[in-house]
Amino acid sequence: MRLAGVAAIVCALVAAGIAWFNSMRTTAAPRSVPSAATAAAEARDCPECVRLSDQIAALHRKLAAVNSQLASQQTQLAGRGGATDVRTPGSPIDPEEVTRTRAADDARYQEYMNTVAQSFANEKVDNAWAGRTSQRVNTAFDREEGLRDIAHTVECREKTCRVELQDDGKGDVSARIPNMMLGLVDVLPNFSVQYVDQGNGRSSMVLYLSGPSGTAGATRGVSSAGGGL
Amino acid sequence: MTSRLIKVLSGAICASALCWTPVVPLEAANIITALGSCQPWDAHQPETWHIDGTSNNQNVDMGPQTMLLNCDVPRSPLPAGATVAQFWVDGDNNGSNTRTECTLFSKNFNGQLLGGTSFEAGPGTYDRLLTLPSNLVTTWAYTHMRCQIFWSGTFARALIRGVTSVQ
Repeated sequence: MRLAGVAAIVCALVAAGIAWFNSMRTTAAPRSVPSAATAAAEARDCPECVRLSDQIAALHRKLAAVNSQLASQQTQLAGRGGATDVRTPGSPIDPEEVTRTRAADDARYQEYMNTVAQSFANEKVDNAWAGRTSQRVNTAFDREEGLRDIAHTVECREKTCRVELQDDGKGDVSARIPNMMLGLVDVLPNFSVQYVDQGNGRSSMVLYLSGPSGTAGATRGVSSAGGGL
Repeated sequence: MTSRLIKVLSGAICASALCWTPVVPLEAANIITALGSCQPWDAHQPETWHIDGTSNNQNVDMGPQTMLLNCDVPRSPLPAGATVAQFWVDGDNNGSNTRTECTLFSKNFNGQLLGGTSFEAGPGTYDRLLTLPSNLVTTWAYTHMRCQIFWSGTFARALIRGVTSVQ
């Protein structure tokens, strides 16, 4: 019975320590330190209290170390790759951070598209698939008003097609590409776009069109009779 | 009696202190959007009665019909370390000749088209996972979905219920 009472008091002191630490962290308000006379009186009247107080102080230091470690990890995550966002909802956006993030994103995007281009260059040619699929791509272009008059070249290999066309710079061509892709949903559902500077102030768009990926068509268990990729 | 009171009070203090420990969310939650705001994409499309992505819900057979819709898909920047952006699309195609085709695509903050992925769904309820590489869904990119719905016959109805952006 007495032991349980002591345990409860210890728990209460630890909880009070945590509460004190939390309030220090959230408000950062200066707190008064017990005077030396008060501490001496406490040591005389309640030696156990002094021991518990030391333990709480040790816990406090450990918590501060863990907090510091967590903050360090968050900073590292924020700096990795640029596509991270560890801000709490509603926090303001730093314009310099936006600029940095955009530059990092652009670098990653260019690198990714270079990989896609290299992968296409290394692909073998399946003449039957390439001929059949090129025809489908040309038909999809012809069916889309706003694209049919745009000069373009189509090159298909084994499972990927490369389409190069002039970018009008006004966004009209970009706006029509998703419509054109609807006509290829059964053979080439995925696409990515690379922009190639032509050196005369204009750029060309290069589309890489590819077949279904591994996760395409996954469901959450709802029936989808007749559907599917 | 006194020791019991001490224990009760201590327990209450423990509980309240532990409950008070602040929890700071580090990542955005999924964004679930009902697509009642889809708009006809092309000016040549019929102007009314399809505005919410619902097609012929009447006892009138107008023959084979089609309609192109554009839907904005809200999202948040991807969490740290994410390699893909994922989206669930839900809908219903009621009627044996009803079909839906959609392309979900990403545009950079400057309007550049970055990439996209498509799916098609025949008659019935569908629930599709669409995945794009995170390199094509940059931090400040916007995502949209362009859909074409096909229907014919009475009470044929193609409904795009909504999209969940997985964060």
